[in-house]
Amino acid sequence: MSITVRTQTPAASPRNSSHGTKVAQLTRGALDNGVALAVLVVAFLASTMLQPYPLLILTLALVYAVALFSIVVLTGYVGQVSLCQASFMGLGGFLIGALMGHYGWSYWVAAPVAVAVVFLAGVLVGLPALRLRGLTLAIVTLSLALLADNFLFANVTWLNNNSQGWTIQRPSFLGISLESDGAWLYRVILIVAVVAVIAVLRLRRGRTGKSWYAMRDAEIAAATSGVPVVAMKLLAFGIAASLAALAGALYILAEGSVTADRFNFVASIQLLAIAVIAGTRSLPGAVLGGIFYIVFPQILLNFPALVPLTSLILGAGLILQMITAPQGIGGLLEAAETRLFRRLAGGSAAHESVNEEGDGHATI
Amino acid sequence: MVSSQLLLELVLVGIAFGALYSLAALGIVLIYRTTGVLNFAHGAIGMFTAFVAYQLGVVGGWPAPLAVVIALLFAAAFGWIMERFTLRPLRERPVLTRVIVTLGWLLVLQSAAGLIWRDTSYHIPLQIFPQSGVRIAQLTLGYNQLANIIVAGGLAVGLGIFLKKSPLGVAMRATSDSPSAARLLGIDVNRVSAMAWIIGSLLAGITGLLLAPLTTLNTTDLTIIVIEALGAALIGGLTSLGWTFAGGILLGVAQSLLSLHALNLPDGAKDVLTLAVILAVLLLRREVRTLAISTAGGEGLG
Repeated sequence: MSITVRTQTPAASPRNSSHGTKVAQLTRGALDNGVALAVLVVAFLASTMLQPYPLLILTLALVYAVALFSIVVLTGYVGQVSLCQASFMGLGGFLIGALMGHYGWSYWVAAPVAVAVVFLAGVLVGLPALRLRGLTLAIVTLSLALLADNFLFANVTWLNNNSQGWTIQRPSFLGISLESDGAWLYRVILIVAVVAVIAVLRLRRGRTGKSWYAMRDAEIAAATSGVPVVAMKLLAFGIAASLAALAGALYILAEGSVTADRFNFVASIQLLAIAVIAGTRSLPGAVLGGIFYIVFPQILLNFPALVPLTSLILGAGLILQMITAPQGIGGLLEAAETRLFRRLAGGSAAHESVNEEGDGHATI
Repeated sequence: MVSSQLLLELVLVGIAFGALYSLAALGIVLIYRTTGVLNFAHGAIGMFTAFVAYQLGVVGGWPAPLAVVIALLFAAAFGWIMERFTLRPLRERPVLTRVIVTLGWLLVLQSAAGLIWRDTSYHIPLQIFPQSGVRIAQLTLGYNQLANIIVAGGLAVGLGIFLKKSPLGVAMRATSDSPSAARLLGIDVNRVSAMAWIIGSLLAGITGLLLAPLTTLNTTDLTIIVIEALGAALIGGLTSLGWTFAGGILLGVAQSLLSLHALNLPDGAKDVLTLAVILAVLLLRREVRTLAISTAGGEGLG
């Protein structure tokens, strides 16, 4: 199974490419897969080598990589912008806390139910997006984020446990207590994250993904070509929301608790900032972004006055990113890879590189 | 049974608040009409301006008028910096790219304020107008509330006249209709955009200064005023100054009347109302909808 993400759209792939290009593509695919596999192996081995505390940090970074991947889907694949992904993440976590706390549900039942509920919430949010795009959708999702901050997480006592948030007993997995075994906690979260990402990537490569790209690049043309625009848009919103909720579910599993302050509107804007800085069409970008978002504040932990520094760096990074390199760090990595292959395969791969770079520049 | 006096008082309080939403919204509309950018950092600029005035006037003990003037100079300069260095280079790029830049500025301003003044609510905002008030037919109206209405109304009328009569105002309207045609007519589009951002940021700054004494001076509350301002701007179809002003007043009064239901209503109820208004306007107002569609081609992320 491959978990490569390309900036290239299926429609833009060169059909009459020469033999050399095909070789380059094959090797390139193999390299991407190889890198992905190596990263996975290293990620897995990390659980046997790291001390409990650094491992917990890495676990949380994984959780945020899933949250960022939800933005990759919505913004990168479908071209819609959401300023309430952290709210969906928080809603997922809070729902699990409420279902476990009020009704004594098992985590393994509560988590899928919460993800399904947030999927529906995402579809509901997607409804105005059927008529609106871009600017207006940003307004709607930002006001939803504020609604979640000031109402859902602040006033609905069923959901927020009288404003205390929730603390849960981490469940067992195949007889192993995740409460006491940090290494297995990390592995379970790694497996869930990888499975979710692969599932979405498979969807992206099939009809659904082709419809998304077609809609993103030319919505009216897509509609006249028989793409079910309404269903596909709502599906994208639902999937993005449920990926964010899954991140929330993994968050409460990793931390053992949820509180509202992690999921406010600023967090949503921060998530979008990281996703854009890392490259909205890039999976490696999402992983690197997740690591930065969790690890950097750890460095500041001993200097409480400097906590806003993370946000400052993200805001400044976002502005600089937009001005200098719109395709993001992930896009830069891919451009470098393309250059490498252009050199290896000689002039014949030039066609492909032009295509990819041209597309990469169009990102955001 | 609700006494008519309570009702009237709530309406007046709502108008005093709503006038400031209107003022912020006018800045958003001016910038949007001239440059096509929705400024999500609008509330954050007002917040930072209020903090600058607090630093000089309350912490530093400077005379209030001086603190106000310098804070407003900051707001104007900030608008110019945003336009000149981060938005002008992106003029040919999709609208959404430039809107995301304003989100970046929101994060920068909010976190910078947090680094300088800490994320607490223990700041005493600079009082520009006295809180004591006049009695008008059994009702007490604070001087600061009265001042809000007068300042906001005056600035709105002034802005309307400026856009209609002054050469720069006419140039702004021309630029908003068609930048390329404006350029052909010899209008300096760069200068016009810069002026729109400077005036827009000034309006944001004035809003922040007037609103801070009525709410809490912290890094969040004034920053998120941008949602109410956007709601008012949407009621005006992002073009009409008159409807925008009315929209702000309407939102303010509606939020104020909410407290009829329960005096200790949570903050969240206001947000529910604002969201409902925004959704209703987006789905019902045809201009806004066509606007969303007509810009869709250029603003796509792909």
